[in-house]
Amino acid sequence: MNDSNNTVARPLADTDIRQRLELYKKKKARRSRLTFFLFILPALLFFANVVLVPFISGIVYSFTDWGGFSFAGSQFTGLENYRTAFSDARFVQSFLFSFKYAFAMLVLVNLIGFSLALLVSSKIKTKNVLRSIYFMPNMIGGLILGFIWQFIFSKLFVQLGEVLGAEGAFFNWIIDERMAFWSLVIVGVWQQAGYAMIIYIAGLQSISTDVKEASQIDGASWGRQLRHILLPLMVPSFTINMFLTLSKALKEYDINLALTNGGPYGTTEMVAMNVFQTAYRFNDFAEAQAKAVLFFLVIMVITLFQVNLTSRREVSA
Amino acid sequence: MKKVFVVMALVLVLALVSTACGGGKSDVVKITFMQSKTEIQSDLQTVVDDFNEKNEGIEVELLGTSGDNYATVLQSNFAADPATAPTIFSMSGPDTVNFEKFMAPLDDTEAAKLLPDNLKDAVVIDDKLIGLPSAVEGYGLIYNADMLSDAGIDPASLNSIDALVSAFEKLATVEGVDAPLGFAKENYFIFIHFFNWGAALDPDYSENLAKVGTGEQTLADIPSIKQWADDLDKIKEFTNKGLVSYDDQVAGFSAGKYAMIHQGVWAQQVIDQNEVEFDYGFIPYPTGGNDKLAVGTATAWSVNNEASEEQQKAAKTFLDWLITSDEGQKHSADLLNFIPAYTGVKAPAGNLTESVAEYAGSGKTVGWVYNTDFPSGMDVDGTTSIQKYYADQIDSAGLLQELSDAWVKNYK
Repeated sequence: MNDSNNTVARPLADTDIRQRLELYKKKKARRSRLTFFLFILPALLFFANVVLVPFISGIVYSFTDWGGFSFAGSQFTGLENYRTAFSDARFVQSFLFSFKYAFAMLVLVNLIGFSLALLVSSKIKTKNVLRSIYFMPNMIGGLILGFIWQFIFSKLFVQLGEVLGAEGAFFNWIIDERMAFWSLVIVGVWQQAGYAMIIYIAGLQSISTDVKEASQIDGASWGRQLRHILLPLMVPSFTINMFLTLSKALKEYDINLALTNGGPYGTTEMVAMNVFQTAYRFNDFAEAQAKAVLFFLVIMVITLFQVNLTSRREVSA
Repeated sequence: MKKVFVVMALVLVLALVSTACGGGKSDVVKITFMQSKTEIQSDLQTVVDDFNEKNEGIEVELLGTSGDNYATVLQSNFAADPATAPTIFSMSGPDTVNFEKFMAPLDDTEAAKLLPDNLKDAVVIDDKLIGLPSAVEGYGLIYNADMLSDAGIDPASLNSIDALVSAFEKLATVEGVDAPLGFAKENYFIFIHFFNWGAALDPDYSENLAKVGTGEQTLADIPSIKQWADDLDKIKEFTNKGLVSYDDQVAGFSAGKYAMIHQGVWAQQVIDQNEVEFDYGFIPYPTGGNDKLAVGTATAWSVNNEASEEQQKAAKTFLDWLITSDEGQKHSADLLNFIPAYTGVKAPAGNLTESVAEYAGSGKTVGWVYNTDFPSGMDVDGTTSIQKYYADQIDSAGLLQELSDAWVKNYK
């Protein structure tokens, strides 16, 4: 009798309490993990539905003779689509053109964006107005920009040429192979420089005034300050801006479509447009898909390489 | 535990909401209708509303149209789920073959009985009528009659390229004229429609063009196409080189910048909207002495064979109403400006439309062979090549060579 009474009344040992506490904690952790998972489930479903599944099925389609309608009945053709993509002179040409465009954009957008950022962070009075003005083109859609500038290049320029008697500089740029390229660059830079500017302004503002003042006291000129203080500390902004301009320029479609539509005689066709044309004008859906996969790989490699290269130069004050 | 329930309930509700949007069933058969011509969309809505009012048990919903990207949008619809794709859809040109497997046979419709044999080529595949042509359309050279008579030129005398060229020489000197002949830069206008003259004038075009596709011969081996290229050399310097958009081309014609434009009846409404003060009319493009207008069926209406039985039946009822009933014919002529493809149907008024009806009536027509015999993608490649030609990058022999190469590449 005594024995049994003792068992009931005996206080819990330390180890027991710890064990129970552990168990309780584990249970709680499991439960919060479950809650966490349930919370991200809807987003995960959407992500899988609109990104993962199309991406994977796109890769699968590129190895078949899929005709653009239902996938059932398509045959696997191995690397056939990739072979035809590489032997398509138009595709190769569009790739070269995209590279050329991306390079010009990379240099000009960042150069102009950075200069504008320096201008509107200086002590001029109209800097707030200027900031919004420079940023504004970025808020207009590429298609509309393209159509507006098409009017300027193909109509206004012709009129200007006649009035000023300067037909050598002002003619219909859109129908000239060389100037059509530069008209694309001008519109692209005009649209994107403002966006780059905003990121550079943020970068400039994050530099502590201590460093700048210290260099001033040491008698550094403006040029030296820019070269040895501002630029090294701004590398993170350059990394992000160069990534943005590169990937956007390589993927350019709307300005290309609205401004030149690939003309004159197909010389300004960029990769995205070539992929679209292959699918919907030439009805080679699987080949277009293969081109899109190649397109993705090239953009990924180039941008990763660029980010890697510039982020290695990042320093902190 | 309570928290978990709340979250799960939320997820469930979300899932329910996203699936529950499907519709219930009622006695009214609902069908959807999508077509490519933006210019008739609002008038067509009026016609559809009228039909819905007068026909109980069927409700037609006219879906929005996107013009240029029509085939792309339609294809996405069919790729997603053929059963919910539009019940009635319009189709034309080389895209037709892609959608052929979704087109229900329409031989048992009333309208099919009124369709003359010479218009069946474009809409009959494997002895099955797969579309009902909406209208007949035609294109050629639209001329400014006042300008021609001022220059002492009788349009009827322009029956050869040499006559046309000497007329152009006179017209080029007229005050305000930029170029005697204007082309528009869109793929179909700058290349497909224009190249069709050479292709369609060959009596055995189908066989000969197929041989180009398989590489047995080049386009230069087809006499009418060689002739077309030679004639193009003669008129090249009198054209605007196809650098302006369709809108600018028609506006330029209305303003007297071009004495002629290469266009079709669809331009009539635009020219009339510009309230031009001169008379205008149609002449055929006289390559190789041609005296026929290029006339074809614009778009044809097809019924989706993956739609339910009732929907397909309702769709045929609607099409029969539009084409054969008195009300439908009145709408077709007055509102939609359709030149009838069917015998005994009222024609709309207008210089160009009347002119096309006249040429069609007397059988002086050449077909639109690009709908059936050009490989898909020729519009893109052909436009590139003819732009090169106009920009003096290649000559006419080079043009035919590039086109032949593209023909082989795109031929399947």
